[in-house]
Amino acid sequence: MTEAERIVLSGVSKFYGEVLGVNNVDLRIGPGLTGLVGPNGAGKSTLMNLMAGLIRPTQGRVRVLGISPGNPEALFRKVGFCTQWDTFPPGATGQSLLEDTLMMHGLARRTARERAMEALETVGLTAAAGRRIDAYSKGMKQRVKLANALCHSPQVLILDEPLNGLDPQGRSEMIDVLKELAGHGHYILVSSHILHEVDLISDTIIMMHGGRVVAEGTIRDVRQEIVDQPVQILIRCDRPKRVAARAFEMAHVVGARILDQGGGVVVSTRDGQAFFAELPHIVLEENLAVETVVPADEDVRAVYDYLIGPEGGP
Amino acid sequence: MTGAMFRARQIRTVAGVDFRRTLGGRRTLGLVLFCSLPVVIALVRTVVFPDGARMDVGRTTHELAQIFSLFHLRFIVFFGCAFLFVKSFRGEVLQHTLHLTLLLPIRRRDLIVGKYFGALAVALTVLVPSTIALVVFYRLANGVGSTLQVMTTVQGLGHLAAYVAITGLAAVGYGALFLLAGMFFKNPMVPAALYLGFEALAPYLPFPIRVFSIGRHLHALLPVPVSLGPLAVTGSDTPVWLAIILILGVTAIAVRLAGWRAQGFEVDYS
Repeated sequence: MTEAERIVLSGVSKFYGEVLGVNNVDLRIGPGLTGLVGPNGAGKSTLMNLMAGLIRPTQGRVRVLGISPGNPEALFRKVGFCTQWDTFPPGATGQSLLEDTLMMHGLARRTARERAMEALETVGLTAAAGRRIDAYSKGMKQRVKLANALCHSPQVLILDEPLNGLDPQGRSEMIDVLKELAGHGHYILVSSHILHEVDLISDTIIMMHGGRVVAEGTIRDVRQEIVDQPVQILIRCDRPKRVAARAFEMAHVVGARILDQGGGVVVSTRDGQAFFAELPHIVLEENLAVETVVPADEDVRAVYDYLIGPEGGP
Repeated sequence: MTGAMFRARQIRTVAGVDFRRTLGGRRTLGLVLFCSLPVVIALVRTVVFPDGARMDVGRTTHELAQIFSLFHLRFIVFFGCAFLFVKSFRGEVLQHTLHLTLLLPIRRRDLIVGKYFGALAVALTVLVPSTIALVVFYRLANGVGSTLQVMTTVQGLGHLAAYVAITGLAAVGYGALFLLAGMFFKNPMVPAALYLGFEALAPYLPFPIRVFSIGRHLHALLPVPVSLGPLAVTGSDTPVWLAIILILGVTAIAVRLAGWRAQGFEVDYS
């Protein structure tokens, strides 16, 4: 993939005086849904603002599909950005905000009105289109921000905590919208501190801490890079204690935990591949009825805990 | 649509949106009340002035020129423009809405031009009626019949047109300078005070610096010569055509500089 087909950050640093925003970040982001995770102050919003040109790097270079963020005329034809800020022009309604945005994209007023209503319908705000945004709830403001980012059908969507403030149904609907867009080859970068949501929506993750990228790639790839943490494998079967006993005969197995209700066992091993090779023999020899065998820590939460720590710091 | 036409349309759209949002804003009501002050003064004069003075049309014409130059132009128009144009860009920073504007597909220098025209349209919408009302109501002290008589002569209409044109040019020039000031100052009173100080000193400054005194050029356009004592912008013998060119030139420079400043502007609401 060429630079014109990716979001590229090369050696990017941003300092606010002596305060670190992001430090020496190198990233290549392709199409699909990418989750940006990290604790507060990790540099997620700074990174997104750099991509949109709202701030400029102290060092390094940013290109979005080959376009410099210093060229808003070209950039925002391809990019939509849902920012962290919940502020809107005084007196603006959902419809007027989107209409103004679309007219700036060169649409005639009538077309802009139609497209604005389509975008508001996508986020479920049709009924509130004519109401002042000041009177919207937090969730509705979040939706109108999303609609504003989506309305000109950008190829790249940068979404800073887009699910904040949405109710469960709203979250589910929004995740469906994002997945559909990603399925059509859009580039969608989503930051969130709700890790299970990142798990639900992301193909790949970028994990940040202290202004640095600490991991990048598919969740499986990232997990496999963490060699100092044993792999955890969940086996749901009829006789988990027997599986645990057999597992402990293997030198690479370092632990086994029977689940509370006795329906399964989580085996910790330093060699996942060897365990998976051995497991069919155990099943056959013990005549086990196995329901599922899945990695128990190949998710964002586990990776986050290993790399950053459960409290947001190692 | 060519690139230049598209850019012109974007500038027009920004101006239109800004005009609508500013004129519909609550703060504009304060500005309208502020710009109504000259009318109040004119009406007070009509009510309290002695009858003898009311009959002196020549004296009214001279006083009107003084009131326009010293009070309306240097106070109402000047501070009205300071409020409107400094807030045009800076107001978005204070309201935390600048990011929405900077996420639009428009060159930042075009954005600044659009915002300038939007604020200028608001300024003219508020200030021109204020000027017309001042001229008309100030003359009412001479009675309705006399006012109608004066206002229907070529000279009376010419003076009115001149005052409106000066108000418009003041908004054009001061507006551009305050738009530029808004890129650096949060409070419009700071650049306004600094610029007033500069204008007071302008007659004593070398020509290349003096040309940036909008008030000096406006003084050259007044239809009735006035002497404003120690507050006067003295020694302005600039021809009218040159004064207009200088105002437009200063305007172009200020808007261009504001555009350059906007190029490097970062969103920071902290």
